[in-house]
Amino acid sequence: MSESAIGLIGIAALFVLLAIRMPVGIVMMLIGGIGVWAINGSQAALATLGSEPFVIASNFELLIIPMFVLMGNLASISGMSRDLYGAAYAWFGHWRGGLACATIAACAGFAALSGSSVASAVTMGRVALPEMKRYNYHPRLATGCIAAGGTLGILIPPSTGFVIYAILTEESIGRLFLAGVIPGLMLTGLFMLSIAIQTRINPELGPPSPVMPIRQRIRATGQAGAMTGIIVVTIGGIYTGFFTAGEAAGVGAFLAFLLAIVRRAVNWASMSDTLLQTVRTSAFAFLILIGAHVFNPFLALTQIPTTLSETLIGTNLSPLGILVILLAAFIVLGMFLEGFAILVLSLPIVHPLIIELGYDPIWFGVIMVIVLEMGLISPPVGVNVFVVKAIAEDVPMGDIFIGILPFWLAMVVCLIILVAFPEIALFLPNTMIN
Amino acid sequence: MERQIAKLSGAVDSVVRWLAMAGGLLLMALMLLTVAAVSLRKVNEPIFGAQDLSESGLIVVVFLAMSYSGWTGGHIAVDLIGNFIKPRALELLDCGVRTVSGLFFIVVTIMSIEHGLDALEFGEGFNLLAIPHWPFYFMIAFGSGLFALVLFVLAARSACGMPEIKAR
Repeated sequence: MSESAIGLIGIAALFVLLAIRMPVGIVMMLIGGIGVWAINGSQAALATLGSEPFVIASNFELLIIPMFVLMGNLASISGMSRDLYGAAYAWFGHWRGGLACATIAACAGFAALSGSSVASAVTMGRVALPEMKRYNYHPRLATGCIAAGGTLGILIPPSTGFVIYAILTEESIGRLFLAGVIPGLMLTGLFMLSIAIQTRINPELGPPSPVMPIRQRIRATGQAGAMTGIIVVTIGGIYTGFFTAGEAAGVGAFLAFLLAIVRRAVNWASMSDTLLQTVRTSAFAFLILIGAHVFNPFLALTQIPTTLSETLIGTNLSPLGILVILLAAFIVLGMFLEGFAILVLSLPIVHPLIIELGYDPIWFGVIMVIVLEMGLISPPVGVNVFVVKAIAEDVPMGDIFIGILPFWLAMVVCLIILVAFPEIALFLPNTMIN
Repeated sequence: MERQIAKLSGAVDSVVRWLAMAGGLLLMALMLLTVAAVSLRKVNEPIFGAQDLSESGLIVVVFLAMSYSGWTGGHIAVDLIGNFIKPRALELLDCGVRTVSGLFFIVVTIMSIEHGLDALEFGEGFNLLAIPHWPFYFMIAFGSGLFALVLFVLAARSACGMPEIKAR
């Protein structure tokens, strides 16, 4: 049997095992191991299974994953999400749809402390949903903006999506983080614009709340100052080259811990929950990465990525045409597969192709993360939608999906802008110091 | 049978939670080490071998937590068929998937032990402090073996129609 045929059987088996609910990391390890066995023999396969867990789990760069997860979880227990929402509420609350805008702004701020979209949606959902309910916001707008705002968690650094992309493609984590900043802010703006348009068409979706006196606004902004300080230290530290992205994660987690102590949010119960949640998420990310590092050599041995790349380039489609096909495929995949699964399964095939087409891999990382974000709020398996549903139990699922649609379209607009003007994503990494 | 599995589940639950907690505390220590390393480097007093300590510590954190993540459903799976097949059929399917996954992790455990023995024989170690690699291969073997056990217990629970474990 040819190597390509073994590869195709392997990919088919991979999808079957994924469909029957085998965890993604285990599927990739299993198929990768069997595939390498079929092509290179048992010794190579067993050696890979024995060595890759050590290689990945001892990768210094990957310390960034648990550190940033820890920072996000500590930010949650120290009440920073409430401060953020309070500050955004003070400035935007009196607008039509202002509470929804405040939710998006607070999500963007929280995204700068947490690398997880689900964590952002849960945390901000608990804070913002009762407020929007109190001011008679339509449940569609209320739930839609939380689900969409939560997705900013993996675009605005720190982002676990960028870390996994960087590790799989050997790109710089720091450059990817910086590349996510401006597109993240742009998407935040587009989400707010979408709210403004929706509430202009139908003002009952989001009635304005009372105007806050300027002194109260300044006080609310001051309360979010500590959080802003942590963001400036971590992101600023990476930008100026003061420390690496991994070190920034450790320092950020430490500052969030100090703040939690100052606010008396640290006790045995809160810390044990935080630590358990942190290591649980980290172990899942590491299993996926170990799986990817067993599966990818198998895929490389089958020559499938090269063949596919040559076939697509041979179709005489323009690079933009191929990019559009890829993005469309990712959007469809995002409706059925978990975002990280798409990332680890597709990158070995897509990354060489993107390089071949002359696109910047850092820019493509941003594009890919936005497409993953779209998957997080797309039916039928949009994770953030289920998270919001768990908080807003009385809102029908159909209403949440309808509420999400305008934000999903805002993401499409963001993608179009970034494809047309890649410099938006590349400006910060290209001006990075050291 | 169900009572025995429930008893075993209770024991597994305690063990994996305490191990994960130990992993979390070690992570806090790594956080402090990172801050100390950055601070001291800026005053030209770098901590010798800080990276070795972080790398070796990370292995311990990850593999102490692997079973807890598996036990509480932290390792993501794609749920495409959940709404289309009967609950009992789904439980039996989960039982099969978990058994196969458990068997696979036994292979990973054995291979980690073999690599650990090789590392011991050839004296492999981390770059600066020369901390030997073998204890960490055995740590991986321990974590993988425990993960295999967790998967078998979860398979048994699925077979008996017992509820899924949730993170507290």
